[in-house]
Amino acid sequence: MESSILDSIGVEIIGVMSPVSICMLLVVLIVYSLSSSNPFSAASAPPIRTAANLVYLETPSDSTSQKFEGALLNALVFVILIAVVTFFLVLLYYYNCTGFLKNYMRFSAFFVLGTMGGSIFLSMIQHFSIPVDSITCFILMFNFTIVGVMSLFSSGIPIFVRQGYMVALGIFVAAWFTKLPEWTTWALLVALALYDLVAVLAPGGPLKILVELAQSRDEELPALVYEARPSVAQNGIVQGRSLDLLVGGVSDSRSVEMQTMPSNNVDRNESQNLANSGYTVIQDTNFGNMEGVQRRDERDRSLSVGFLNDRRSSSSSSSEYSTVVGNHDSEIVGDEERSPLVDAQETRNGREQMRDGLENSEVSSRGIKLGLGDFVFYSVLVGRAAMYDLMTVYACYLAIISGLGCTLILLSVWRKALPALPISIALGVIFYFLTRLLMEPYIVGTASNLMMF
Amino acid sequence: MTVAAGIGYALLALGPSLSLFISVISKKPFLILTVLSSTLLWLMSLIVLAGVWRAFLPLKSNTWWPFAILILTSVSFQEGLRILFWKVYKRLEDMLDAFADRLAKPRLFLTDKMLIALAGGLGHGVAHAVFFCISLLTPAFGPATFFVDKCSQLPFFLVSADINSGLLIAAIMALAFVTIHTFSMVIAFSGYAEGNKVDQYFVPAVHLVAGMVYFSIYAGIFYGCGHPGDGLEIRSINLAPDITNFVHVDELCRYGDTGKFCFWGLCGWHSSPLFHGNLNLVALWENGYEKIIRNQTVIHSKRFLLRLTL
Repeated sequence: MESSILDSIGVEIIGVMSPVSICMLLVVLIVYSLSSSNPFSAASAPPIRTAANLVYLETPSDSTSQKFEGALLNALVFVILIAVVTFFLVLLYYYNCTGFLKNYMRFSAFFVLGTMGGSIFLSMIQHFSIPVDSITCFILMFNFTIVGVMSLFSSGIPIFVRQGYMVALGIFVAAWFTKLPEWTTWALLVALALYDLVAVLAPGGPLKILVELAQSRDEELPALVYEARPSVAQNGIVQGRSLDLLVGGVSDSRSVEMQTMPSNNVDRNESQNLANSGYTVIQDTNFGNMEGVQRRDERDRSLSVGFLNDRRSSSSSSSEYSTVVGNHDSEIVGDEERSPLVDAQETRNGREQMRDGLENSEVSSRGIKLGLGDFVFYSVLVGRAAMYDLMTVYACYLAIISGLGCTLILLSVWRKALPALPISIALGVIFYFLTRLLMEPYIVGTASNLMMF
Repeated sequence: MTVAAGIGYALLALGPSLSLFISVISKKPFLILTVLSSTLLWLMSLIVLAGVWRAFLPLKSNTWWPFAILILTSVSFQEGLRILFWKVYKRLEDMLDAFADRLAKPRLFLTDKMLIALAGGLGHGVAHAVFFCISLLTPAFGPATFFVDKCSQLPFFLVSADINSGLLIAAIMALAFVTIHTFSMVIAFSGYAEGNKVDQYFVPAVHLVAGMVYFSIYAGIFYGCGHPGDGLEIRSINLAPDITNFVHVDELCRYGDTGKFCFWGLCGWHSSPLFHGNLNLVALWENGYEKIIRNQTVIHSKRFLLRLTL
């Protein structure tokens, strides 16, 4: 039996979602096992002083306004700190200090794996009373760390190992961030989401500059980026399109209705494309002067438009407008011939980021890339939710995953680097508070009466 | 209770769904996405319902009709949502078919359509189980210790067979509901597709009947603590109007030298022998609940007070 269409749709989305899910799950488990281990001493743990709460150290006895102002100040300082460091790294990259950057990334990975990971492992060992002597533990930790550092920027390591270490890095940093006090965590998450939005999309934003710089140099930047497993070469285009299908399905589902009334095909194409993207691109696609377009971002857009057209023209399978359809198809062929070039350039859109900074995701022929910072802050949100209840964890998880899905869909519409934090964090925060304030009394009121429906 | 017990209950409730997920759903990424989005839809429906009902909660009256109205509105809202889900699915199906034509692949088979319906139903069912059952199990995963704000040094240990049986019943009910939700989506979709009126009405009817059946079983735990000699009175947390006995607090379990005592019991199907004949009950509900919910350090106690009312 021929394989059905369901097998091939959404592979790359799942390829990104599953590591994020694993990361969040492990962070939740760590938070559960370490924070609830001893309720007698839970309250007595001293608050930690980090870069994220430089200004204000939250204590449970402070008043609400005090906490709020302090948390805002903390978040502001942290974001400014991150922005400064990012600009510094951009500057370094601008002056071609790639070697320094790579070694800096290696060092920071070593630091995170060794100290943060080490302290988490130690508390695990204590909590579960694992009998292990210090020498063995040290050797294990050292090996773990060194392999992790080596896997970062060297090609000889299997990608599975690299992905695993990326997730591990995310887990460690996130578990460490969950130790921040509550108000600071929320303010920080929101501020980082906003910063991410600005840094990636605004003209002059550091991450945008960096991406453009890397594109113009055609290099891959040293950065802590999770890379979804590259798909098999000949499947690449097909899978790329299947993402487009999902996009098309969401962004203009009216195209389905179009096949019942094939008349006026061109106009519809134009008007629908007009809704999607720039007018000039449609002109290019329809009249075949693609070569006139030199700027790549426009080519990217027309590429996606071409895919949309392709789907649309094949769905409107009437022969009445065969010339138009044929025209489209030839254009699509042109697009597809060009697409490796575009993809190759996109592949080189390496992106820079700080050690635990904010990153974007992007589509390339080698799969979707997701910055480590996204892992970290998704997991921080879920870990913070885990300190309240299991219901909030689940709600936040769903919200974050759906936000990620929305981001991926936007990604295949716009075909440029996008910030992955804002939608997910916004949805996650909204769902957290809705669940906590609205849904819990409801569920509790019904479930405690054994009412289910 | 230990982690093992918690995992046991969770697997009891979610085991079949888990095996269904692994063996059928996880092989096709599109179905995973369907599960996720249907779960999200269910969650949003729950949030909307909760937002509507928030003003009327908690329902404290001993009459049954507010609960009946609550269940009726909730079920009808969710059934309405199912129709919406069906409309979205129809659109998706057309799109998938068009896409399949373009790739020169076969269109959706009947089994594919049923798989999508199954995934949608599984999403509903899993969300139901997570919110109504797994969140009840939270204390079971912990150190099985919780604290009441009033007597914060006085741990309660959840080792009772009564509580275990309550959680067991919750898990079995969750399992039943997961099954209902999962397969009623398949039935409903086939009913919509073929225009079969019986199937279309069968699904909401089953949903409503299931909600009403469990509505008739209720039980509650009650508990309290204080100093010997205080005539502490509690009322059970939920409807259990017949528990109005009196207990001499000094005869309850003394706890060390703190001079405090604790007691708890289950009403409904297991009334604890402690309470036979002598328990004076006043609302500890009002006393204990609000204080505890504000205190972050005793989150476990809050969970217990609210959730283990089985």
